[in-house]
Amino acid sequence: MILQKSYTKQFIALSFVLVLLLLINISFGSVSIPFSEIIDILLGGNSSKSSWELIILHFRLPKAITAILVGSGLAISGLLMQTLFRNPLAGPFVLGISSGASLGVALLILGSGIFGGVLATIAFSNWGLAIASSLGAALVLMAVLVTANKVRNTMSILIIGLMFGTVTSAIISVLTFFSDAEKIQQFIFWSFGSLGNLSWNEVLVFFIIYLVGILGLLKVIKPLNTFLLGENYSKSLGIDIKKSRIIILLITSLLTGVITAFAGPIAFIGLAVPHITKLVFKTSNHKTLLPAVAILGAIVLLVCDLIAQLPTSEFTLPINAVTSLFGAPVVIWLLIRKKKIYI
Amino acid sequence: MSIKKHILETKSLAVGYQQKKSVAIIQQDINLQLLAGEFVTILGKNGIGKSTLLRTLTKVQEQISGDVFLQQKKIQSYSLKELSTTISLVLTEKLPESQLTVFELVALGRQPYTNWIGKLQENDIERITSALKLTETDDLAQKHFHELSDGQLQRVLIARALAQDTKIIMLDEPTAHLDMHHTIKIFQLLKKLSKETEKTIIITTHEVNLAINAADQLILLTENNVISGTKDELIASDSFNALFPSDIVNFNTSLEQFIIKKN
Repeated sequence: MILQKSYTKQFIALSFVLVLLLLINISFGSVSIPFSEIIDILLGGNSSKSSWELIILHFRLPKAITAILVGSGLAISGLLMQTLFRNPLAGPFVLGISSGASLGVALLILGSGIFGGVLATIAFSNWGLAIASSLGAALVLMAVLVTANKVRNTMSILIIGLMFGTVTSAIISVLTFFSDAEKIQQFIFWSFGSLGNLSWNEVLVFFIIYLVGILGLLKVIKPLNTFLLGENYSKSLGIDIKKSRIIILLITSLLTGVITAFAGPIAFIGLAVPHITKLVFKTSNHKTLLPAVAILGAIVLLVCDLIAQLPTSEFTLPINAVTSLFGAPVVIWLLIRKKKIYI
Repeated sequence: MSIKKHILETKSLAVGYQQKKSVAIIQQDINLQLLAGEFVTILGKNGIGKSTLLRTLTKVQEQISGDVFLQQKKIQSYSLKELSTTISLVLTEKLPESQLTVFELVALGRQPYTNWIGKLQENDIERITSALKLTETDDLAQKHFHELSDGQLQRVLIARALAQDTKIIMLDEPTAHLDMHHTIKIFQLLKKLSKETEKTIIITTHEVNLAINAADQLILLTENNVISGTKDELIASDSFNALFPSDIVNFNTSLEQFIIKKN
């Protein structure tokens, strides 16, 4: 009797696709660079043109790495939320974290127009945006954690998260109403999402925070699997529900917080990639699902980024639009074919 | 009489709900003494406190007063982890939809014993396969649990509880969705398991006639009190008739069954 399915083959294939896409992603851009040169540069060799080296090492590579971190982080967060809330419609943004981040950024950008002064100078730096959105996300996170400790019902947390989201959106609307067109445009550009523009220092900070979240996952693989049976069974298997819930919320907030801070609110990935993964792998075991959604999330975002660059053209589409335009039909198609959806 | 140690005992236990200002007591003065290997059924009409009692015996809910002893130790002193290796549960609630296979579902019963990532050791796999065999679900192992019929699923849930390797298994209305054939099969299975594995199996049920004939000990929850004993003891004390209002069903002593009253 084969007791447990092994997914080694699938993982090898997916990893291969990931590496391939990483190379393809780096190869395309508004400046065309021969593939052999790209390999040389990546391997630390010298390129015939120093500008190519600059483009690859300081623009395309950090962007591709950002795409991998963002894609995998959002997919993992989405999976966590779907399991925690036992709701297939949950995604990384249900807790209102991204609304919080948006609020932070809106206060900074739009507020700089209204209040002027120091805000205005900060508003135009990457760090300023990242810090503002982190603060906003952290604020909502704290509110969610405090209420999560107070309410016993997990579903209430879901609704409370939605309410926080609504309130922050409303505040943003008010701010927008009092702002001038230029500021509003700047805010809208931020909300399109962007994988580029990160320096290596920023990528490093991003990676460290991302890693803390990923390490946290090791604590919750077992509880996550028992959550598949519902909270009562989970408790009877010796799981401290409240503690696991807090850890899961913390990981999700950390990941979505840092992602929104550095790349803006990127839609679709967190909701859809877990579903695509479950349809492909046909399992609910988090020991398999967590690494699988991470790799697939990275792959999907690399593909979306490739499409957004509109290869051979000078334009770049907003990544947020591409993820939804490209992704939603894929999920609809998958669901129509497979007919059933699981948490 | 040989001295057998009680696996589960209650002393002047009162169960109910602690409200903000008042206390709603549902049943009180409950004194139970359950032995290893006993098949115990909790009977009573709807809303009389069967589930409340079960929840209190499993520490899901705090008792109002009195004590619950698990293996001579107060239940309050058990940590969640210790409790998970002493009592396992089969609940009535529907499982959330997921793609767990029967094997994975049963394997979750080994969680209290596995390492941080839930890796199954040889011993765990042995327990799981023996649980599948005992419940005759081994041929379903690779199916997804959502493909099963209600009767099969119930047996798989019992296998999961068996795999948890606890001295006590508690089941809340394990035959609620089953037809007569599968209901009787579950009763036979539970009775058999209690004898073969020396586990104390406690169920709440509305299948009074089956329970009367299968149980080693019955716990009757009535409007006035909680009585427990063997079938014969309860017949001798004429306790069964207190179970339901007398206008529709009555207990027939010679048939040892409840029968519907004829007009």
